[in-house]
Amino acid sequence: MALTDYSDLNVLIIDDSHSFRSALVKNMHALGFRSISSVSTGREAMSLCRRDHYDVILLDYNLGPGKTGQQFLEEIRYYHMVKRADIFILISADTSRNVVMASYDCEPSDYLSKPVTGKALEKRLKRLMAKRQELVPVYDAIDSDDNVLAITLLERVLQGASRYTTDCQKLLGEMYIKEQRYDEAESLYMKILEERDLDWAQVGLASVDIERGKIEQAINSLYYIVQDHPAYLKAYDFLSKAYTIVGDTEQLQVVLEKAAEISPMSIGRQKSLADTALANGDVEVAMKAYKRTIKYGTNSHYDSVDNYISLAKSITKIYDNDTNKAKSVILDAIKLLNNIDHQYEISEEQKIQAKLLHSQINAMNGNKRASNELLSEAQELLDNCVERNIESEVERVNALISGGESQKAKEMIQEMLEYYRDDQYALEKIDPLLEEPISLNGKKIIGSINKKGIEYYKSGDFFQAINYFLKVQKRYPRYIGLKLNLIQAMISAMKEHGFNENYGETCDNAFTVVERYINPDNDKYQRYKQLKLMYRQVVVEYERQKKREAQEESRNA
Amino acid sequence: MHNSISDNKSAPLGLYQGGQELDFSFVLASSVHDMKNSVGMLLGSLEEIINDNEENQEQDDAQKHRFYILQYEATRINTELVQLLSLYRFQHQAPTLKIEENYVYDTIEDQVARNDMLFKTQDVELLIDCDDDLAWYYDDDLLGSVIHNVLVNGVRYAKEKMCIKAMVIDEQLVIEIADDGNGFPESMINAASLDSDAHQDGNSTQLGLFFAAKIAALHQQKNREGHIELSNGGELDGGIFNITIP
Repeated sequence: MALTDYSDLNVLIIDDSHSFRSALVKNMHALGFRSISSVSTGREAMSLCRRDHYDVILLDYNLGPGKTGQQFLEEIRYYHMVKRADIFILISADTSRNVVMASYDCEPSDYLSKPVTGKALEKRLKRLMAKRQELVPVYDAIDSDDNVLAITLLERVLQGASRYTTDCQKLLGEMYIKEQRYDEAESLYMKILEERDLDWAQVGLASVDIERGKIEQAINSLYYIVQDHPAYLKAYDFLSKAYTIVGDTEQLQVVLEKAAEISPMSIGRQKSLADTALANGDVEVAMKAYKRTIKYGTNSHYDSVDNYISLAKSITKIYDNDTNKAKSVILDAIKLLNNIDHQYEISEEQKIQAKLLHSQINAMNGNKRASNELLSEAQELLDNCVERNIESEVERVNALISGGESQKAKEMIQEMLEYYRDDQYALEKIDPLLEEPISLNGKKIIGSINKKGIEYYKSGDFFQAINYFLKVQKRYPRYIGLKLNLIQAMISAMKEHGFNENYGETCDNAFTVVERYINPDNDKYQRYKQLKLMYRQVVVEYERQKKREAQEESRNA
Repeated sequence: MHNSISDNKSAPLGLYQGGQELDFSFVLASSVHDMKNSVGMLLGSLEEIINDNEENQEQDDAQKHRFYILQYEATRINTELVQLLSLYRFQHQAPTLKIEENYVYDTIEDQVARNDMLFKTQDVELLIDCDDDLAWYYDDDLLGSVIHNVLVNGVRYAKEKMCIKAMVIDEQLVIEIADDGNGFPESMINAASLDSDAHQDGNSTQLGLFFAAKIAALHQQKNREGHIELSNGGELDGGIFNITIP
């Protein structure tokens, strides 16, 4: 191999340790690099990258306070400040599983763990540079969106015996798909899989299926991949894509939860999980995921006031499911909302939502005056708004209800239903406020899941029935008929199998919420009264039995 | 219906999940993790000092020798801690195996480069006998750490030569690391299997072997499982370590 000249390439070294930085500079100089910059923080690195392009970047994962190496990498990619040919070497002293997963996840060109010796760095870099040199025409073609040229070049490389066959095959598959040449992509992956069972080729095949609209088939094969390679995150990403396409938000959440468990520091997935769970009404999962998004996303482009607002929103929603739990998180929410205006540039829209949420949380906390003040401030802002915004209007209704003005809330809902009657998106947002969903999608969900629950109930399988009711009532917490179905199924289960503390707690919570929204002229009032009576009997019977057992025990002792 | 995602719970290191009781192995693993990071920093600084001194030529041989001892022992501590941590993870977390096609020469070269200073200071010559184009499927990090451990141990017993050889025998990759020392004692040769009794008493010299055997066994292909083997003799007439990856 001819001695190559590295002198015209720009190198950037990012490490918070001064001595490590200077050692790396020395090493790079010895390798023949001449244009070397070194900085200690991600922020400085960002501003350098805005001005100049760097061909080789060595970065420490842990950069002290501020951005991590992972966030820096994500960010320069997000702002398209990188080329395919660029070399990133992520260096880390921390080899804990979370950090390693996060590092793999941001796909650097190479990964070194500290201590890094000069010689080891040299070997790696020489290898990476040789690969870069051979593939630079391909990378350039991809960067300039000339997929056809990229395909021609890749096919040519693959005809010879290249050291970089695997890299080229991966790229070629991607390019075929981009150009919608699915047959060729498929036969490429099949050929590879004949020789060896490789996760990336399997995922490639599944992604072809997705593009062709064979979603069911793709989902099936992706599940097999996930079973064999549980840490291969790309498979989860394609599963998410497939479920998003078919609109199965329940399964989407399951997949995102699993992926977030494997690589908790991936901010993008945490945020998708949070948003999905909030829409599904699974507010506890949403709350945790927003917390993580905020924690790991500080200083990144994911750092946004919307995360805080959504977190506050999840907290207020817990009130509709679990009154006790809501009490324990209220203080968190208040702290959060007090800080929002100070920390961020906040838009008018965000300000209104923050005030409305703050008002609700104050009401839950028994602070009526503060709640009313915030509500009227928000109303004033809302009245000055020219454009209507469904999110704010929903929170306004929520704030009115928690402030005890249910009549006004009802009128407002009526007006909204009228105004948005042809807007399915808005109607889906209104659904959780209603006693029964009105959007097409909401009706469909209720129709299928609630019906299944009822079928199981009738067949005597109370446990399955409870599962179905639990799932759907999270999404529509104010649907009284549904809550009563859940209570009835639990009572029946307890009558058959004895008292169960979990069920007891869930029933108590469900009754609290029902009582919050029901009044005597409701047509479900009779059924509510009846179930309440039956539940009392189950509890009394349980307590009696406990007393008997205690007596027996003391007699025996 | 699809198959559901398997749900083996794994507690990530650094996040205590469990009951109220103190989980001692967790506490140990956390502090081993910290120690390893510290030793890593120490090794980095040490290499810089050695480099600086060499450039300035302001030290005598006795001083040089002391630095080398420092470096060698710190490397051994580091290696041992990494092993401990990996064993903890094997037991408590689903192992994250990253099987990819790698060039065997690159993997070997990485470990040799990592220990470049060590071989220089111990005056041991290391030969690599591996086809530049030999590619194989394995987890580069894990196999690399096995090679690293064997090198760091071997250099202690080698007189002046070590040799790493890679070849394909019976459709399996075999990496052989030989030295010209006095060879392995009988007890160690017997310990090179995963179910050997020698692992039961937690003898620390055998820990490395257990670790290597475990990593080998994680590599499976078409009903074949990787394994390790120790023997004496060969061209260098010393100890020979063999790892086979299907």
